[in-house]
Amino acid sequence: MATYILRRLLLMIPTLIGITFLVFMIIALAPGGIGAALRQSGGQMEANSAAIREAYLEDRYGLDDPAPVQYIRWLGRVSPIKFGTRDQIDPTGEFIRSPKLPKEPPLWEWFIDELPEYPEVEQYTFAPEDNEERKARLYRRQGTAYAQARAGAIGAKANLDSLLGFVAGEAELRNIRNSKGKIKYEIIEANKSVFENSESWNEIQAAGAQLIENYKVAQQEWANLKSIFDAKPFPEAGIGLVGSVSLSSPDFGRSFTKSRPVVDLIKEALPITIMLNLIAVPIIYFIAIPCGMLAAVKSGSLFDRLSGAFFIGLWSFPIPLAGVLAIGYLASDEYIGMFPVAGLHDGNADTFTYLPTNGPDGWERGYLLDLIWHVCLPVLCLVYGGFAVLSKQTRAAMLDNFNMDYVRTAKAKGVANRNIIFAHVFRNSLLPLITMFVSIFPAMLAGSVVIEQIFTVPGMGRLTLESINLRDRELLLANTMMISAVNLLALLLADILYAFADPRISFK
Amino acid sequence: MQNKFGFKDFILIVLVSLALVMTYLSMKQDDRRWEQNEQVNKKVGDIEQLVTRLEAKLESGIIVSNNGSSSNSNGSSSIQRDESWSKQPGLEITWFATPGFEVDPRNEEDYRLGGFFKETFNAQPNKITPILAEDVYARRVNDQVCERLAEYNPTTLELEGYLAEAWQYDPNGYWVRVKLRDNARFSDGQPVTAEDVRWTYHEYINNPELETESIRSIMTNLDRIDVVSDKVVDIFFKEPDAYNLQMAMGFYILPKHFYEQFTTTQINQSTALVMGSGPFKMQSLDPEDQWTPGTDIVLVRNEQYWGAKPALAGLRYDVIQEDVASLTAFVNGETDMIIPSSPQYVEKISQPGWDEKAYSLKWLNMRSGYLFIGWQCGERNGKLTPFHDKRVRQAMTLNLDRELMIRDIWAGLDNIAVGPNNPPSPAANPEISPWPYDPERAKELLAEAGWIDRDNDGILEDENGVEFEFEFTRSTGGQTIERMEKYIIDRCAAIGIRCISKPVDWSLFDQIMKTRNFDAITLGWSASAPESDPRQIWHTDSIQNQGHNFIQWDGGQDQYLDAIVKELDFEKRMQLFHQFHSLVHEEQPYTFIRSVPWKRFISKDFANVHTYPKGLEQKEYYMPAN
Repeated sequence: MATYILRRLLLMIPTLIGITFLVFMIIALAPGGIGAALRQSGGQMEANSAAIREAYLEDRYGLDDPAPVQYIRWLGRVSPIKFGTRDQIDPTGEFIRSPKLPKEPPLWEWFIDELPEYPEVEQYTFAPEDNEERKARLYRRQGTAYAQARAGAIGAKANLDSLLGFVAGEAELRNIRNSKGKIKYEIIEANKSVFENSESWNEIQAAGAQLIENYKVAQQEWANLKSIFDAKPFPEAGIGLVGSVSLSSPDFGRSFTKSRPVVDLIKEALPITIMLNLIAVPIIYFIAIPCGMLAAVKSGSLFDRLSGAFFIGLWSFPIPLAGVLAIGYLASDEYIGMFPVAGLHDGNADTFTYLPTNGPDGWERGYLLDLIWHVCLPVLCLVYGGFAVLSKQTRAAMLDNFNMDYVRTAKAKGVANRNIIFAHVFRNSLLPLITMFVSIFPAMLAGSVVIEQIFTVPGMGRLTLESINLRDRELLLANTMMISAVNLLALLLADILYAFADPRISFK
Repeated sequence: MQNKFGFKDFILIVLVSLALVMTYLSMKQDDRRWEQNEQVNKKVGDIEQLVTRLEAKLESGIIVSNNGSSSNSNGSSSIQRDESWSKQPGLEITWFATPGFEVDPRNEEDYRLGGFFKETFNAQPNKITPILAEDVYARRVNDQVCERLAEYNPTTLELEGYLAEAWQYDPNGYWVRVKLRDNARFSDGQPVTAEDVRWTYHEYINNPELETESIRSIMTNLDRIDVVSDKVVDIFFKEPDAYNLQMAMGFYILPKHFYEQFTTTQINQSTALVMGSGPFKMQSLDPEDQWTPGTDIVLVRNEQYWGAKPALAGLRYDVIQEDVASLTAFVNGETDMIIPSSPQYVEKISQPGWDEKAYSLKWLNMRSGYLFIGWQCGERNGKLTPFHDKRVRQAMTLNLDRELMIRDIWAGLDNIAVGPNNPPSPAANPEISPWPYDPERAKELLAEAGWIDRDNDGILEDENGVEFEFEFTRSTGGQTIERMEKYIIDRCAAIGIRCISKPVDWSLFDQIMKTRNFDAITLGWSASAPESDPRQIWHTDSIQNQGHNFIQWDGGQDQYLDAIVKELDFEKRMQLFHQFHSLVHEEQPYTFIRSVPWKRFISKDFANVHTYPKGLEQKEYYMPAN
């Protein structure tokens, strides 16, 4: 058994990589690609210097690399086993990485004979009186200097690009851009004469010289920063193993559309979704299972048919419509007005006490009750469609068992009807229900997009949907990873439970 | 012996777990009490500080200046002012009175302090840290907390000093020297100094490690800011430009002492590190306890505010995305302000008794945008589209009954847009009226341009027999846009043009615009200032280089645009703008469909609610006594 579980767990790693890679590539290859939301300038008339803004953003988030490279970089960060230079970790918990090299300037052959070499990374030693704080400050100061220099190089490149685009446009040179609007330098290179003969050649030369100049500065600042980094101003993250291999906690990175750590975003959304489901799922079970049992016991009766029809009717009622109707009637003061419209808390819930109180100002419902009151309608919408499947499952399983030999034997022995139903038939019918619960569990984490949208509940469903809509690489991958990991674990759990429940199955 | 789990054990376990839960809950309860106490203590501390400052002021015998006069006295007042700080003696200095209320509520009979005003957004802002957050919602919150050197006057839309008491602007446009107000202070009581101004620009906005790209890329023409003295700064520009002044005055001034305590990563990843000198402040400034999306944003009155203090005790913002839900919340009184959809607006204002419940506001202001169809005036994939001919573009406009469209598609709430600037902006030419609906004239113009139905199949052809056919690119989603598209296809068919629908996901729009790969495209522009630099959208330089002149229109506009940005004199610049407007009107590179007014429902629990060309002024509201 243990080897089986271990094998399954190890198999999960390639499966997870496969799933996340597939999802990532589908999104990356979709029109717009990764980071489409960032490129959008938002319909503002003041969208000045859009090209420079875009260049900055692409550099910051590495969006200008090919999609597979972006994926592999992500994989390297989330992997607990790391290769290469170890990250350092600063007192606020931020990972400090070995500084990125500045990007090689395009078309440098046009402006200079030889690309400048990187300056030597000198060995830096902190003065003995440097304490942690001073080391950190030193590193940060140099970090800012490098960021400035790098931004200078990026700005100069954007400037050159726009000049090239301008000249190419004037000269009616086509196809110099790929489908995403990026300049294809090989085409520019092939048509060098067009640029050399244009009026703007001097300007291009000047822009190119500026770019090379800024690149050199960036190289120098990079070398300075790298030397301080190598002197380890912060403690190293993780545990070193052999050579350049180390163990470290996975870093899910930062959502670039929300510019916040992905882990924080999930930490906010997940409890809300889990809470909703922890309320909803027991309700479904407590209503559906007894109804299914009763329907099985009184199979063919009026109750059986009515409850079946009723649950199927509920099941087929569309959730978006139900949500809007619930708000329009149950929440509106013009009709019933018993429930709040949206959100999870009353406006001044933060002034409430936690528990209900009956003080001198009269009854106050308190924070906890307020929360329960607010989730009534979303839970209602989560619940009503779930009865049908579960009650039908229970009914079918019970009916199967009623016809079994052991039931007949029990009846013949004179066991009371009650005992037959609860102790024998129901117990044996529970197996499919337990495995069903295992399959419900991952869905609980994924959240319900529609309900969260209608009731403005900031849960996982909304987060996942947004990450897809906005093509947010880190958020999307982390969500996919989490949901698929939970799915895989739930499947494993189901298989193990099967083995326990059914002696015929063994994993030897 | 069978070890059976009996009923007794069950009861025992239930009781024990109940006791555990109750203990946990009562601990929570105590925690909350403690937190609330802390808040009250902090507030008392603030007030104490204020009282000591007032006492000191009274003792030293300074006459408290009359804050709150809304007059806008530029210079020429009889008071002798200290002008020793001027950069170029003799050059005119523009002085500004202390900013007050547009409509002062303090003399009203039922005026009273207190009350929270709750506004409902219909989308979730991700963060509200100023300058890093870019969306409109974050800006609405930031505008209440942070202040700029200058603001637009709500009524006249003129730029007037806010944190700046006066400035001296180089007639050649290379520098401006700004004097800050002596009494201006941040919400923690620290004065606003010249160093804060310099720091905000050089070490916050212009810090490449901070995610301030959007603002940074707009402020490229600002060369540097120098501190002259504690309250005086020099702002230098690289090139003189008509928009330099509004750019230099238009960023929030942030307290250096507050933001400096965080690393760049902490600021980048923050959700709500908001501190400024405005009339309201964040309820919690604790970096460990920041606002997170999904909860209400709570602002409280800045008791130490240096200007005219608002009556409201605070502002509160929540988010409801569903239209029906937000209207229901408003009707229930759970929120005080919502943005209704057009049908909701029409339905509610005709409902009896609605007027007693709510202010129904609909007006055009400096932030209202417009909706248009852009015609491809240049080449698409190396081929000219029919729209390169101005007569065809005019015909397309004449062929659309925009009044009918507004009535049927947008519930009749809007006006036909007339040009690149909406009427409240002085840049709009008041003499221009929109093109009429005249399909006959449209047919004539098309015939003049060579588009005639030569083979009597109902579709127009040019002399080579090529049929008039074009793609109409629009974003997916929304019934409104589908109805608009149906109408356009219908109208085109009526005069013999085949219009093919091309719905695309919004994430593709940027790419389509950049590659100019469309015949006709529908979009909207919105504004955030009374006039904005028109070059990015209209100049021919923005044709190459993937700029925003994606329709590749080249109709002689450059002479006006180049002159506009060089003209520092307001009146003359407006004249140029009017000429440019006439040209756009004649050339019709866009068919202007509708201007998009703001629509708001505001609860009648609040008084002194007015609409301004600038927008809304929540700091003027108060909650009448009854």
